[in-house]
Amino acid sequence: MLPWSEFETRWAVRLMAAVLPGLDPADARSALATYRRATDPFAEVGFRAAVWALWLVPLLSTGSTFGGLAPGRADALVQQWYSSRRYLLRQMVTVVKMVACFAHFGPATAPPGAFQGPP
Amino acid sequence: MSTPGITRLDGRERRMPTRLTTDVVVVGSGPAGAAVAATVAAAGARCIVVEEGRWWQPAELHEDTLSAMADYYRDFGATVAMGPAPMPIVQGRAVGGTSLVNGAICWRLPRDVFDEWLTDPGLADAWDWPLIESLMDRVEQRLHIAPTDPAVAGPNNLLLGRGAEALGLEHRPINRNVVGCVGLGRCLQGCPEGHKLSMDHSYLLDAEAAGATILSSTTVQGVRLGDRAGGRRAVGVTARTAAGTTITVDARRAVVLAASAVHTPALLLRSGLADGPVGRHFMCHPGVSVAGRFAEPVRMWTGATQGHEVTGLRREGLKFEALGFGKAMVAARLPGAGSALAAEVAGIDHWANWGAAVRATGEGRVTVGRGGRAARPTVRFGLSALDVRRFRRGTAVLAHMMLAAGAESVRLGVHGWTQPVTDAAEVDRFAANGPLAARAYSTAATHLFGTARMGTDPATSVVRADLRHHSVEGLYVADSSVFPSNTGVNPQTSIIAVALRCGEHVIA
Repeated sequence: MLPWSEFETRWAVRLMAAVLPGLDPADARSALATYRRATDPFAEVGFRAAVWALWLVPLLSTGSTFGGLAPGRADALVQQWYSSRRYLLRQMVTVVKMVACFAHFGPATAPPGAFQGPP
Repeated sequence: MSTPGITRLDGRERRMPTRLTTDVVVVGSGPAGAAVAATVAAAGARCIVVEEGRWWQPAELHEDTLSAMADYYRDFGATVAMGPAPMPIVQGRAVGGTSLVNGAICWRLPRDVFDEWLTDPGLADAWDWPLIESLMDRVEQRLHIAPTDPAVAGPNNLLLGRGAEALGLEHRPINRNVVGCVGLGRCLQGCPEGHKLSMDHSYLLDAEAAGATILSSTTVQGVRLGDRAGGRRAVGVTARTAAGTTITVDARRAVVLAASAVHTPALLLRSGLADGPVGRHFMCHPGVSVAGRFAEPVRMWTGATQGHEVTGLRREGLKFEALGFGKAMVAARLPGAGSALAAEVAGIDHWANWGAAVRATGEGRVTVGRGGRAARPTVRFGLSALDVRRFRRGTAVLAHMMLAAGAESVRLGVHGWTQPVTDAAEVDRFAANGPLAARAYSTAATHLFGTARMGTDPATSVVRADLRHHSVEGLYVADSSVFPSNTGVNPQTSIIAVALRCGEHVIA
């Protein structure tokens, strides 16, 4: 597997933060590295392809990459993609969402898990 | 020679090529491998268990899902089953195998499933119901299997019971292999206090106490074969440690494969043992889930991880369970993306998530590609039309239960049905008109079976009724690869029961 370029990592972090607003970019970077180290090679290829595709798809409709979109437009687009009729498109957002959620609730932010008692 | 008194070897520290000699070498330390090791060691045989993952002490286990999945799930819990609707396969990779990270759910093999297995009449000579029952009795006693204590169940489990009761569905607290559970909600990350009797806290300790050696962080690459008059014989395995050196294990009596329904056939194929349908008939239990938002806090990550289930539709190929996840997994299963997702995450305390496990009728195949003895297995799997209809039915039942339990709204998680559902009539519309395309559903597969099935005909099975390979002396398969079908219920107890019997055959 070819190592990721810095720009690919930046794209991925930006996409993750768009899918889950409020995600700390440092957490996203760290989680991305962990995910790439541990996951199935097929899944990593799929994730990488998703990053490229989602970054470049807006070129077709707006003439801009995802990174060039205004925040409101980017938010609308990820919501639209998530419900897309195109299976691959919504799957790509889903995998980015999964890694983003794992990053947001990653090792630095894991809450105490102790059970407080029955309701 | 293995050294008496040393019961744990760590492949992360083994840098010099080593040759070990034993009576029985067991590949894999999950429920099957651990049970075989405990059985043969108790009978006085020398035994080495080789495990790809490492030992994890309870205090080392991670609280967060990211770290847990990276360190002791195989492929981040996302080994991809390729097919028209690719899905992740969830398996553990650690000493104890998947038992380290499962929900501790224990089911006896249903009689009707066992009877299906006996459609091969030759199996009845080696297996009968009283035997299976007695083996399962032993498992339940050793693992302290008992219903979940309501005092530690937590809201997510209790709500499932409430919903099922309101609908008149048969339900019960889940039988689990735990002792002194306090409801930390961390079964899927590994219990940090050792309350779950995963194999590293039960059968592997028994095996060690009887003299077995556990070689961890070491990947078996192939079965070694020797010639004997009239055929082949398994004489050991070759393995590679995490530190990068080769270990050769000579086994005087038997090689036992217990590496899962993915990696056991892969190992056979990499060893040139492609006899019979090895790798074919891959079966599993894919699942779907539904999320519901409740007015009161649920906090899915507290209480018994999986403590309540609905059993009334098992014969329809559906079983329902409360799912207890860490916050990361809860968030990943919330609806939406972007600001819509962020809004849901802000209310994460109020979400419940329940799943339907499907007894899939679809089958797949495990193959290995190029790469010699280091080649990775590839899994291909396709759902049948009946499986997808069960997804739809299961999703509808889950949604009805959520509403009956008092959910303010339910999210079906099905493409085209993404809006909040607040009334039963909408669920009924989904049950009648929801999609019947596999790609509309988000699924994951657990419980893997069938890729080295037992039987009497070498053309249609890989091992005999006593779990010996059809054409290689001294080679056994002990895991759920040998099951002639999937079970429709959580298979841990059944796997251990069959493996205990395998151990008895090995030392007979």
